[in-house]
Amino acid sequence: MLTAGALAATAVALIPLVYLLLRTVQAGLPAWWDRVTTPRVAELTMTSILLGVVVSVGCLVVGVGSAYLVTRTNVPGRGLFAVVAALPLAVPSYVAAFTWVSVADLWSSTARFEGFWPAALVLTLYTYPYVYLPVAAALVGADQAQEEVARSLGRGPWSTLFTVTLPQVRPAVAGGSLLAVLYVLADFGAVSILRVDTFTRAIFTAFTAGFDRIGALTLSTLLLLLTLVILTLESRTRRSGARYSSRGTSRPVQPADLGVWRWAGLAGLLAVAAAALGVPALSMVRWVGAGVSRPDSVADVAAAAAGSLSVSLAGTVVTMLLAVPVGLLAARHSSRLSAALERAAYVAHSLPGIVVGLSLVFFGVTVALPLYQTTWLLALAYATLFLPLGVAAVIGAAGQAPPSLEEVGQSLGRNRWEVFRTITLPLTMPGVGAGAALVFLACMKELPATLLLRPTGLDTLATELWQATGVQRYAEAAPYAFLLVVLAALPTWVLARRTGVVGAPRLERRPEVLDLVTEDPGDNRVLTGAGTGGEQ
Amino acid sequence: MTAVEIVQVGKSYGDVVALDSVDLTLDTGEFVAVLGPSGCGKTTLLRCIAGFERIDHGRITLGGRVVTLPGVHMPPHRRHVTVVPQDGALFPHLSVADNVGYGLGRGRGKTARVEECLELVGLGGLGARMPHELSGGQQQRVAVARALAPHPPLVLLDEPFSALDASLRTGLREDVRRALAEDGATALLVTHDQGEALSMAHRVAVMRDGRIHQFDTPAEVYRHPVDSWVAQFVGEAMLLPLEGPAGHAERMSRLGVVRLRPDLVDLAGGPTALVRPEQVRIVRAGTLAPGHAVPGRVAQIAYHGHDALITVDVPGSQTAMVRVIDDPVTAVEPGDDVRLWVEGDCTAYPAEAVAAESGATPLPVVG
Repeated sequence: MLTAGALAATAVALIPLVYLLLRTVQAGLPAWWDRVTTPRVAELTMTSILLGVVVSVGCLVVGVGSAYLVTRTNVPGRGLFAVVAALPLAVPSYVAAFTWVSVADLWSSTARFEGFWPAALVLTLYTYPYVYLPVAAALVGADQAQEEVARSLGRGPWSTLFTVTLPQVRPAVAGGSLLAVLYVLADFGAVSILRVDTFTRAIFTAFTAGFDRIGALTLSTLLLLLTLVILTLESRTRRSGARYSSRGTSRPVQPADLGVWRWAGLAGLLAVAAAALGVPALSMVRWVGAGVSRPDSVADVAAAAAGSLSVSLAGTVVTMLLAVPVGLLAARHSSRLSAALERAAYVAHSLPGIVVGLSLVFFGVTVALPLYQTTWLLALAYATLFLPLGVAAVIGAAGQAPPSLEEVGQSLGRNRWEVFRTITLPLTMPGVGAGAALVFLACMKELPATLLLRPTGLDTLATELWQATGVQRYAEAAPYAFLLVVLAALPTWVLARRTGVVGAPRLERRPEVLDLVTEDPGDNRVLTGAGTGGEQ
Repeated sequence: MTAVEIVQVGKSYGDVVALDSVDLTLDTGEFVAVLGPSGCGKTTLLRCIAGFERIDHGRITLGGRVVTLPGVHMPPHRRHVTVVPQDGALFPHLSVADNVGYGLGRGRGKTARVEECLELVGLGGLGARMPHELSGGQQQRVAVARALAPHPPLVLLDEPFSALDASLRTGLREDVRRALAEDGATALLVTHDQGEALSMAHRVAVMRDGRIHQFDTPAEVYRHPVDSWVAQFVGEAMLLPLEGPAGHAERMSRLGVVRLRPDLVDLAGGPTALVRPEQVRIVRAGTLAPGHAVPGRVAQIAYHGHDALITVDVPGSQTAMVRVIDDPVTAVEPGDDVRLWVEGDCTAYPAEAVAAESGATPLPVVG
């Protein structure tokens, strides 16, 4: 029953992928090969891969550096920077690109801020948290005892850092940088606004401007292949990461004393924060006032917000309906099938939104015409893209109500339904609800699939921002950008808290004093020898 | 009166036999421990009794009611058998009092019974607390109170102390044993901890590979294990091959004369005797000792404070283990020449039975 539901959910999530491959095979592989092996495609591939590599190297430097500084050194204000360093994640890439473009004329009135290197800069600044967060979490969770052992064996601080500490977090570093590459490959908003010809932009242009369906499909399959290669690499780092999982009890980290160099660290952190957060702030300050005072602006923003709300709500409902069976199966029955299903959901998540949108357009036109041009097809695209967010929430929520609790409930004489109502439901609802909220916010921010699939006449915050930026009406775009940043800040906060880097209490300390009253360890400690002696 | 009757219960997961014809009976008010190494099937047995798993063979009867047969399965909530899981499994969203009262109906006397059960486990007045405000030991006490509250015909305890610090364990074991006894509950404890099983239970069932090897009082299980595996599982054991004709109580071993239990006098064909380190007496060479004492030299001493386990090299043998109560007057040092002899009646096993068991034993064997 559960398995059937999970299979169905995964099948729905994989519709775009399957449909795309089906179409490609139908058209014939030799023809596909001919279309792929052209100078234009080679150029697109080179640009996309190069952009991915440059950005991931940038993310490595900024992400690992920030993570080390805030978790392991005495750099001034490290508690504050631990939060600030995660915040760029709250700025959707197309909003970031808009804010940079819209203030570029302050520095140079002639040269436009566009092309490969500006795109690499913007993507690095807003992607590095994908490296920063896992690495910082790994550094916080890493077993300090290993470093202490290295020091006791005569290694200095630098030698310990490079031979023990960094190898410990290597899986997080590798996984994070591959995530960054995936993100760059899938990014559509920033590269279109900054006019870099990567796969996503070329696919969109081919489809909307040239009505070149076959060309768009060909590029989509190629991008899909590239994505799958990166995904395979990423899942390998995940597997090898298991052996590094720390079992030691974590104690508060003794930060390294950087001496005078801590001011250099501070300068670096400040520079990143100023670029990643200062520029958007500057743009907002400059344009929001003008944008809001524009005639009809409030009505337009309200209409777009209503559009965003309605499609996001539909997307959330569909996503969570699919996520519950997959998540429950993965949490309660750890079999090969459930692992594969969960993995499939994640594969769908890594597909570029533009590819998912495009394949659902074709799917709607040829197979599901009644759905085409309705909110539900867009909701399906959201479900494909954001199913893993929902699944992760359901798995986490199911962990709040382990089967042993239900068994105890039943053994105390309550039937299954009563146990579900009094135990399982109250324990899982908060988690599932939080997951739904995350999915909802992700839907609000989504751009490429929304552009391709929204019913005619329906505008959302994201599409309005994109259109206004496309014709350089920055004042008009600013209110949308502001709203989107506010909306996106919420899930970022949740994410940052979950990694344990930000102020949240990591270990709930149990009040030990209570022990003294009832357990009286003073007396028992004397008996400990006897107890262990008999146990052999 | 028989509270629980488990008859030839069998359970397999695919090709893996978890329970292989298990028989066990508990009298009302009795505390029985199922003792076995991990993977022996003891937790499966508990889950079958609670109704979380279905059985393949046999039957289980609770208070005269058959609750499970192959193909007939009374659901857990109608069996009234309560469990205390390893981690306590308190409902995190309910207060301590609501946890304890979960298995009680809405009727009058609920509040009184909840408080009574909390008093039993030494947590009176803490009903308003939430589970996360309690220490690990206190949480486990609440789990016990919750299991006792509905007056169940049987309480199942699944290694309830193994997650706790050793210093808490001893006191909590005693308190739980007392609470169960005061409430008149019948209880089945599953554990891999020999000390826990021997010190808490009225009777101990030693389990291995899905079978009960021995079901008897703690003293019987320790002093007269039915086979050499049980002997070595419940405590340190030396297995000494014996020489001498059948029909004689006193036989020769490498530790001198060993006297057999009267009922084993006729054992023939070179049997093997079980000697516990406590049965071996040790004196310095040159001190008065029986004529059959054998010479040896102290190799090492594992000192535990109240007692010590002394390893002695015996010529012609390998080593012997001797447990002595700590005594500063007669204490020996490594390198001292000593004399050893065995006291008390010993259990012995036919040689072929021991040979069949050997190889599966992690504990030191003299032979």
